[in-house]
This record gives sequence, structure tokens and C-alpha cells, in this order.
Amino acid sequence: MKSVSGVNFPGRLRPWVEAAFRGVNTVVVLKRVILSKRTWICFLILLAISLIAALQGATQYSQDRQLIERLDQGYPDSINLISPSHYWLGMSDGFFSSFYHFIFPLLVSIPLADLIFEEWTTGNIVYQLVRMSRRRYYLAKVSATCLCAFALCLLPMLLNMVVVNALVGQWNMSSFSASYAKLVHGTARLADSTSLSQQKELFSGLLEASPYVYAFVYYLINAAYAAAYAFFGLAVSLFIRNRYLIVMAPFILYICVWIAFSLIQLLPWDPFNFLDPRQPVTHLTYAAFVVDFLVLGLAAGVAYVTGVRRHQDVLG
Amino acid sequence: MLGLSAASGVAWAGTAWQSFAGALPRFQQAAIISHDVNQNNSYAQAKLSNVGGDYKLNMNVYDATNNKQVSATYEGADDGTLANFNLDSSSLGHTVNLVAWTANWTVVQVEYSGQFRADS
Repeated sequence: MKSVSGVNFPGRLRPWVEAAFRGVNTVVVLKRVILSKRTWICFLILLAISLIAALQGATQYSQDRQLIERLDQGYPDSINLISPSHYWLGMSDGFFSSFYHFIFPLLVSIPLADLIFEEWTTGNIVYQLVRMSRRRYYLAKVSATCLCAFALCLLPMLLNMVVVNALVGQWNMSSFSASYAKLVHGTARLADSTSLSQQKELFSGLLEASPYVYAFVYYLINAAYAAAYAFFGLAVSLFIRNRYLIVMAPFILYICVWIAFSLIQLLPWDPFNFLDPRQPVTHLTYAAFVVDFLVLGLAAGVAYVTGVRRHQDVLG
Repeated sequence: MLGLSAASGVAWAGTAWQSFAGALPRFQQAAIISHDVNQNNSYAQAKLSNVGGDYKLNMNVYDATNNKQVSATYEGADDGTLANFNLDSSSLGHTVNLVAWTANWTVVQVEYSGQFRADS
């Protein structure tokens, strides 16, 4: 038994645990990714989409709020249910809000999916493998890819939330939460049934607590899927020798699943639908979030391990 | 009934249900799915009998005269939904359109059927 960070692990597990605990190689890979021009270009595109969506959302909020205040005078619950949170990224019907949701698997994969492929083509992988174990090398690539994809997807979403709130000048969502809680418990005084349609099938309790919590949970789930898609791209790169196909692979998977599940009517199990905070289809379940994530992660994991074994001849 | 009204040149009675059916375009494009005349500014109602698959629709009401939104939006309507719309009084006496679009981008057209009336 050997000790890593004060914990004893069997020798076979040591390299994995060491990499996870120390993360030295992950930090090196992270630095390279962060300093890459491609990462910044993709981040700025995601940021631009989220900022345009924020402008669209804030404008739509002002128009809707004016209309509701005129229509629903004497019904404060109906008015409170039109809150800025309804216009954050992914929560509104604005084009750029939906576009972000559509394009994120591509934009997080472009700077990340071909990390190993690039080192293969430049020969840098040989230099790297002289300096560290194969396991540590491949593990560092996976952890850096997942962390970067997670952050690339999450940060513009959070920024959108901040910008929408700043543009409309409202940060406190407690009146929305109070009216939503009344809506759920059937005690809200509503002008018409359009307010009833605000009630969500899933995570409704979070929306009662605060729309910040609801949005944050959805954004975290989206970011976790972004990480899984980027990991899938990394795994594919061990089998394909075409850079364009490698960076497009996660997006192709996302779109193919969307089209296939639309045609066979498995809408609640399609990430394009269940990752959307608007909950745009019926019969959504919590299981879909977990099952799809496990299937995607497992498929990427198996492909990655198989691909790594395929390339054992490098310095073997 | 449509024939009778057209022949006599009489506007629709506000309380009569107008049946509608069709398919919404792909990628969340909005479409006018029904229309009626707002005669006494009571609640407009839309009753959906069927929405294709597990899809949901969003709906609101526009004044056909000036293409202005005159109701809040009902989000996520599906099979059996009865939506009541509180209409802006500016649409009184005007033809109003029921506008619908899918709740998310879709790659297929989504079928729907139901009824609409501008006054309940």
C-alpha cells in the first residue's frame, strides 16, 4: 500500500488517485487550453450569444410587463409572475436564448475535442509521454477537457442572468417566488389562466424557493452535459484522423439524437428537450437527466479507454 | 355556420366556438391558427383537443387590425388545455387572431386541433 496525500491506496489505483488529488498535469493542460486562441474565440462567441439574448430578454420583459400591468390590474400575483427570471438564458422564447442551447455542444468542443489529436499530429505526445505515465497523461486530458467545457458553458449563462437583472434593474425575485408558491398551492388570485401555465412539472420546489436556485440547477446540469459532450469528442479523436469531424462529433451526436428522438417520439428523453429550463415537452422525468448522462458518459468512457489501448504502441 | 355568416355578411357571434386544426411550422415559427371578433371584451378562450406527440404549444392573442399583442401568453399548452385570455380593451370590436408556436425548436411540424372564441 502506498500513500497519496495521506491516504493509503493499492498500487494499481495509485496513478489515478494521484492525478486526481494532485492534478498537476491537469493544471498544465488547463493552462494550455486557457491560453489557446481558439478557447477565447469560442468563449467570446458564447458570451456574445448570451449578451444578445440578455438584450432580447430585457426588451421582451419590459414589453410583457407593461402589457400585464395594464391587463391584470388588481391581480398582483399575475403581475408578479412576470419576472426578469423568466427572460434569463434558456427561460425565454427569444431566438438567441434557444440558439445558445442549440449550439453549446459545438462551441465547447472546438477548443477541446482535438487536444490529443493535436499532440499526435505535432509529435508532442512523444515528448509528453517521456515525462509522465500514460495514465496520467490521458487522465489529465479528460479532467482538463471536462473542467474547461463545464466552465465554458456555465459562465456565459451566469453572466446573462446578471446582465438581464442589471438592464431591468431588478435583483430581488422574492415577490415572484411568493406568488409562484401561491400558484402551486392554489391560493393565488389570477386574472386569467395564462398565469397557471407558469407552473413547472420538474424542480417546481426550486422555483418556489427562488428562480435563482432553479436556473442555477439547470445551468449546472447543462454544463455537466457540455463536459460529457466534450469528453465524447475527446474519445472520438482516438479513432478518427480528421480534425473537423472530431470537433463536430459531439454536435453531430446532439443533433442526430434530437432528430431521431423527434421522429420516434421519445421527446422527454432527448437532451435538447429536457435540458431546456422551459420544460417544453410533456412527460419529462428526472430519470432522463441521469440515464442519458450515464449513457453518454459511459459510451465516451468506454470509447476513450478502448482508444487509449489502441494507441499503446506509442513509446510502448 | 360559416356559409350562413358569409352569405348574410354578419360578423361572428362572439360566443360561437371556431374549430381549428393544422400543423405548426418547424423551429418555433409562430402561426395564426384561428380568429374571431372581440365583441364584448370578456375572456377569450382556446380549447386544445390534441397536440402532436409530447409537444407543447404557446399561445397568445393579437389584434388583427394593428398586429398588436392583446393578451398574456399561455405557455406549454397540450392535449385538453383550456386557456382563458384576458384581452386588452383596445381590441374591442376588432378581429383578433389566436397565434401559436411550439414551446421549443422542433425538426418536425406539430399537429394541433381545437376551438377558439374571442368572448366566453
